[in-house]
Amino acid sequence: MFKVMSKLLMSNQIKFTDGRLILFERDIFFIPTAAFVQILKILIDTKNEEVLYRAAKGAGVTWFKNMSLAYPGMKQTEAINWGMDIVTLAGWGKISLNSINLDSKNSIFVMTDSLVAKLYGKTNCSVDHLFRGLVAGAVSYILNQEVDAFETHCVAKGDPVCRFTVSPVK
Amino acid sequence: MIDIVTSLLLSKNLEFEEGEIKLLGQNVSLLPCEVYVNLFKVLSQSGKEDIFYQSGKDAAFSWFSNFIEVANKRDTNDLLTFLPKFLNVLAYGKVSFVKSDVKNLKFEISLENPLFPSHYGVSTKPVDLIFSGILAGAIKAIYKKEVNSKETKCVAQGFDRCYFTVSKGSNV
Repeated sequence: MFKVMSKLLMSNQIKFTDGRLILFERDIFFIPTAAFVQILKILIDTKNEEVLYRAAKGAGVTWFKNMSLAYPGMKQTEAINWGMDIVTLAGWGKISLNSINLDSKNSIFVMTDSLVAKLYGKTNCSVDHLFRGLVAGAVSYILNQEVDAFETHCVAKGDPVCRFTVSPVK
Repeated sequence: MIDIVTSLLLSKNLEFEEGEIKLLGQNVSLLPCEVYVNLFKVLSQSGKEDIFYQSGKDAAFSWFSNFIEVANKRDTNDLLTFLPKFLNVLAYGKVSFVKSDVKNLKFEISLENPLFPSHYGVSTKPVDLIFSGILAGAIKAIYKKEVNSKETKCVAQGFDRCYFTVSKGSNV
């Protein structure tokens, strides 16, 4: 993670300035993960989890667009790997790419140690709507094709890892 | 801000591990501001915005209580001096304590260049609920007395800065 942070700092893509934190020209901030989970519970109870998904998807598109401007010439697979490093740096869990098919534009991502799932507690529904949205936005931008992401396995449901299937919007 | 971040990193009070960030021993995560603002707007429409205040307060109380215990920091003056520097790291804006009446536990805090109003747009009500909650939780942990925080002026309402009053009791 130190390598990722150093690269961002050296290329001036993460900046602390005037009380604000900027990553790829977008404002970000530190939220206590426990506070986020409390908010998430209310969102899920009021059936508004898709609001989170869509907002995160939009943020994912913007972030990756700005990232591609910051690092021109990055190949698609490089961008995906770099993107996973950034999301892992953001402190939501460890992300890895399980598989990707650049022709069909289907991919599977895995998150281990999801902080949200761990703090949420046991439930019968998937809970990683933020990451689901971020990955959908990122992949949509990188592959130049709108995709949606679905969390098929979640630690909060008792699965060993969280797993996300990403595929083109039909 | 770089100074405090460096100091926190060197003292291992800010740690970036793989998939995890710990600040004063508690998990934090980086969230894009526009995502937060969208959530705030939708929950405000359902009258559930208080969760932002309460969750911020709970988290900050836990943060500071843990920090005080683990680091064995008992001097409330030192903790109060540290608090705005710490809050600046969270990147909600530039925090300053305008007035501190420790005897009566009443504080006035300003937030310059605040994050959420700049993304929220115009509002008839203050919008920095989570930050307000964090203030209350942190001061409660430092002085071990119930306090609450109220945002009295917000940039989203047209003021030049956001102002918060933190004082004893359940009503401000």
